[in-house]
This record gives sequence, structure tokens and C-alpha cells, in this order.
Amino acid sequence: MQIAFVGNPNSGKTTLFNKITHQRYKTANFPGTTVEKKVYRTDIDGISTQWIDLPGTYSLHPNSSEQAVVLQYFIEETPDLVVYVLDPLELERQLLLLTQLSDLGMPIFVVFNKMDLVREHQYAVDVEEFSRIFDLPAISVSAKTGDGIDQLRERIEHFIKEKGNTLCSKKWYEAYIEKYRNVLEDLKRVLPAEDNTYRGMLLLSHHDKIAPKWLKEEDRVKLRAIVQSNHFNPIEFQIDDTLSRYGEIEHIVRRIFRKTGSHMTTTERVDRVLTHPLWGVLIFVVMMFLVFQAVFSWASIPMDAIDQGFVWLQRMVGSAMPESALRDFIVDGLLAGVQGVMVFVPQIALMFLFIVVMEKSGYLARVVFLFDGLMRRFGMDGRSLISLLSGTACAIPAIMSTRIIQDQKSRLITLFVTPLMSCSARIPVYIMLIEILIPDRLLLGWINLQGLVFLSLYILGLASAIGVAWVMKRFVRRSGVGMLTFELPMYLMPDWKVVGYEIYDKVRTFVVQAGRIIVGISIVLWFLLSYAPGDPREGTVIVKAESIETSFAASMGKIMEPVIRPIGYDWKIGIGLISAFAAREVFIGTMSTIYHVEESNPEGLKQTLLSAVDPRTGRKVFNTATTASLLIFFVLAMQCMSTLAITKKETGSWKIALLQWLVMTGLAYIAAWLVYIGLS
Amino acid sequence: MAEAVAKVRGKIRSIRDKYLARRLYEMGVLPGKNIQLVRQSPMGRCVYVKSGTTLMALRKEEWEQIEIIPA
Repeated sequence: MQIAFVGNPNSGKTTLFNKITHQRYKTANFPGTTVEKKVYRTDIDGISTQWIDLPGTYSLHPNSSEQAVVLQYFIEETPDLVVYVLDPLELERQLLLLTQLSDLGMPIFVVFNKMDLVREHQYAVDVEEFSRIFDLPAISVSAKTGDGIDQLRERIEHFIKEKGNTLCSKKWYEAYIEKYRNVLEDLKRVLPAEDNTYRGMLLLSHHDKIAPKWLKEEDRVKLRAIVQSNHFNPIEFQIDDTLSRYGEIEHIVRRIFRKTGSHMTTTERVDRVLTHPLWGVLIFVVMMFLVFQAVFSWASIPMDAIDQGFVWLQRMVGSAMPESALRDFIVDGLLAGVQGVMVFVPQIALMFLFIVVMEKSGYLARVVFLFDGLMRRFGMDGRSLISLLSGTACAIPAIMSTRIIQDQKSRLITLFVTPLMSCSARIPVYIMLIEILIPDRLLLGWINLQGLVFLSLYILGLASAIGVAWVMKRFVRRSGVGMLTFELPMYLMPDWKVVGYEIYDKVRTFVVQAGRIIVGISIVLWFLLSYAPGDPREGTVIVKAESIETSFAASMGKIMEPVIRPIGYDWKIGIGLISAFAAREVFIGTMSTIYHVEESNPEGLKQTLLSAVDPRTGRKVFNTATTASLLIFFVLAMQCMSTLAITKKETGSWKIALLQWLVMTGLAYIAAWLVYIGLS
Repeated sequence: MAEAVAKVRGKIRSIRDKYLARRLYEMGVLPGKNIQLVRQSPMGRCVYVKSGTTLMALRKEEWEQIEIIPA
């Protein structure tokens, strides 16, 4: 059974969805494969159910590829129940989508959310009258205070068990559909299986924006023919559809909703400061500065604890097991790999904390308003800033988030440059290299010098993203119409539980998806580092490497050494760079494996690296020039195969993914070379 | 600075651009509704607009597509 949660943006739908699914059900979550819709699976009295959270939209007519997900879902599937979440404070606007869904002929449950605010504002909503007019069951809740949530869940569960049916008999499209009679007749001939008039019209209007599984290429050709022979204009149809529905909705709203007074809201008063051309920008910049300071300093405490925990665990396991290949595998391969994933969780969690709070509070929309003008100079739009900011957590969700950008040119540029933003996978590498490069000192008595360098790496990432975008603006052709036009939602105190769930989901996605790759690669690397090609004369293919100098990895590093020598790296760093392609932070694990295997130095990785000497030149391996060059390389290079895979998925083109790799890595190589030459 | 921007308010007569019209209509910003320009963005390329209880951000050129009967 499928239960789909639908509603306008900012209706509190996702908050409600999270509260219902997380609070009670022991759910198996399948995160990450898509951001388009969140799916939870659970059994209720032996009936297997899927709970689906669709992106918020005002209408079934899509304006962006994210909204196309909603339409595609309803063209492809008929859920057993739609839970329609609406915000009674903006009642009129919430009813458009409801009438559209009702015309698709599905059971619908209407949820009046935010009832606490309705009471607070002393508005009056007649839910019973609403239920009577729409012929649909309705319930009032407050996702924030939790009022009515249990009743809602009970009613949904009751519906599932009883296989209930709540269909609205009214067909809203009847008010205007006469105008499209000829189109409808053609449509019936071409798609006889489509028995729903409204769904047929939606498919005809938007068949070029969606790809339902069952729609064959020959069907598309036929649909195009209908559009042409009838001079059918999808935009006109959408306008007719929308205005006709609103015509009826306006009357209904007057019967069920009473509002007292229309004064300036708190939101508008707050916006006088936060969207002020001067103060608004200043507040944003200061806030970002504090966020980065916080991510840097707060996360270090749990990160140290995780590191020490793993050191302890490795020692325990190491001493409990007899010396064997299995012990080496568990301690140096598996545990080291898991550590590489876990150490990273505090920073991802903190970064998402800030992004989710900004989004949930409504502030993110103001940021878009403030910076759209600036972003457009570089071929992007205000929404791109959200993707770029998310890119500081992880490029993968950030590239997915470019779907909210309607203009295809802006979207392409944004997703191309987003990986240049310093993602959290770079953080451990930055920290390690900065600690080697920069003394732990205070500047002017209060500014942490390492923190300052850390911030400047972020600025370098941002600057190069903007620079590349600026160049691309000149080369990418514009297609379609770009529009901004978005709602500035009411400011809300975020629901902290939901913020927690969202962070948990994102961290989980990282641990499960990226983590698998990281652990896998670190095991492969452990193998490459500990084993060597055998001697065919003795009949062995693989033997345990006597030292790292003879291992498989060493051969690989040595092969690439001529390429990386000019920017100051030896073959060991080369191994690190190979491994970093799995995920950048693996670099640390590799370096510790390389140096741990070679010379188990108890003082920790930093001390080991600081004292490492290149036997050929007699110079320190991690001298100033090499370390700085490496830092710059990590800022700019495309070293993440998951990102390339996601670029390919989102653009449908390997060419763009490859170009992204070439541009970033080329840029990185040149910049690292300049830094190396300049400093040595 | 923001307060110095000439305030425009009135009723929506029509929206010239059809792409913009369908977007605004679906948000419930319809002909006959009140609309008011509240302020401009830092580089003056976006406007902060209020219609009914809805607060929105629009680009300057989008705003210019809205025909307004001044109040």
C-alpha cells in the first residue's frame, strides 16, 4: 500500500511526515538514491506499507524538475491514500492542488496543520464545513505541538486496515473542460487505457517533461500530433485550469475561513532588518563567518574522541588476536576504514544543522532574495547559492538540489561549479595539512591563525566556483525561460526534533552510501599496501610485501610519479591521491596506512608526516612548498567518483561529468604547480 | 535605504507574460488581488512583494510584467 504525503511548499508537510514515520514505526529507511521523494517502508498489522514524502508544490503543473517528480508520480502511480497537508493561514492557495488531486480520483485525507498558529492569530477555520463541501475527511493537527498527530495516525492506520475509500465525487475540471472537447476525444483514441480525463490532460500538457515507465516513444509521437492538430497550448490550458479552480475556491474560502484584522506580521517586521540591502547582507556574512568557526572548533571535540576510541579499539583487537593475515585485515584494513568514515560524522552533522535550520526557519529564502542579483552576474541565480552552500557539506546532495533551479543554463553552471565548494570530505585533509603547515598561534590575540587559513581555503573554493561560472556564462547557451518568483515563507522556529531527524537521515545517507565505498576502498588499499607481486619462478602470484617499497601500491605510485613530481609530490603522496578519488578523506587513511606500515610511530600521524624525509633528496617530504601545493590541489581537484556519478545522473551526459573532472583537475594542477614553484 | 524606495501598491489588472502568469496564478496571486512593492534587493535586481498575506521575491523584469491599477 502506498500512502503519499502531498502539500504546498511551507505547509509543514515534511515535518508532519517525519513526526509520523519516525515517532512510532521502526522503519527501514532507504535514503539517498533519490532526493526526489523520501520513502519509508513499514508493516502495519501485516500489511506492508510505503510512506512517501513528495516535494512540496503549488500545483500539478510542474515549473521545475523537482515539481515534475510530483506529476510523474501521479501519472505513474495511484496511491492508496493521499494525505494532503495544508496550512490554514494561507488556505486559498492550498486548495488549488487539492482540487487537482481530487480530480485524479484518489482517496484523500485532508490535514489542517499549524492549528496552534490559527488559535494564536485568533482566526476561525470551519473544518467540518470544509469536509462537507469537499466531501473529504479532514482532521486538524499541529505538527509543532503534536496535537492531533496520534488521531491522524490512528485514522490512517484504520484506513489501511479497512481498505477504506474516500473519494470526492465532484469533478472540478468540468467547469472549463468543454473548451477542450476535441482534444479530449483525440486523447481517448490515442490512449484508451487512460480512463481519467484530468490525468490525460496533464500528460498531454507535460509529456515532454516527464518519463512515465509505461509511456512509449510512439505514444509521445501521437501526443505531439494531438498538440499540433488541435493547436493545443499547454500554458493556456494551465492558466484556464488554475483560474477556473480559483474561481470556485474563492467562494469556498469565504465560507470556511474568517480572519481578524490585517496587520503587519512579525515576519515583515523582521524582514525590515534581514532583507535590508545593507544590514541584511552584513548579518548574513557575519553569520557565515561564525558558522565556519563553529564547524571548525565544535566538531574537533567529538572527532578527537572518535579517533581515540578507534585507536583504543584497534589496540584491543590487535592484542586479543594472534598474529595473522586476518588480524592485519581487521585492524589495518577494516577498522581503519570504518574510522575514516565515522571521524567525519560530527562535521557533516554540524554543517547540515546550520543548513537545515536556515531552511526550516525560512531564512534561506531571504538569502536567495538578497543574492540573486549578485549570482546572476555569474550566470547562476539566487537559488544557486543554496546549492553552493549545501556543497560545503557534500557535493552529492548539493548537485541534486540544483533541481530547484528552473533555468537550465543556471542549473548546468551551478551543478558544474558546486564541487569546487569545499565539501566536508576535504575538511580532515585541510586540518591535517594546515596543522603541518601553520603554527597553532593567535593573531592579534584572538584570531586563530589555523582557523583563518581554513576559512581562506573555503574562500578560494568559492572564488574559483564563481570564476569558472563567470567563464561558463559566456559559453553555455540559454534555453527556456528563467524565472525567480518564489514565496518568502513566514519565519518559524524550527522543530528541533525534525531538524534532528533530517540531520540523522543525511548523516545516515553519508555513512551508508559514501561509507561503503570508503570502507571498501580502504580494504583494497590495505591489500595493495600489504601485498606485492609474487615471483613466477617460485610459482607465487601474490606475496606479503616485505616493505611498502615493494607493494602493489608502490608500483602504482611510482608509475604516476613523473606526473606529480613537478607539483612537489612523491610516489607515496601519489598513492594518497589515487585513494582520494574514492573520497577525499581517504587520503588521511592512506597516509596513515603508508606511514604506519612503514614506520609505526606512536606520536601520531602529524608527527610522523612532519618528520618524514625523502630518501632521495634528503629534504622533508611535507615541506612548506609541497604541503601548500597539496592544500591547493585538494581545494580545486575533482577527486570524488560519487560526484562524477551524480553529475552524470543529473545531466544525463558523461561528457559533462568528464569535462567537470578535466576542468577541476586541470585547474588544480596548474594552481598547485604555481604554488610549489613560488614557495620552493 | 530600503524605506526610501517609492512604494507601489494597487490591484493586479493582468500579468502580461504567460509564463510568469501561470507561476503567480498557482500561488494565488490573481487578477483583482492587492499587490504591493515592499523593498528592493541590494543590487536592485529583485523586489520584495506582498500580495494578500503572501510574501514573495520577484526579479525586477518579472515585476514589470504585472499591470497594476494604482490604489
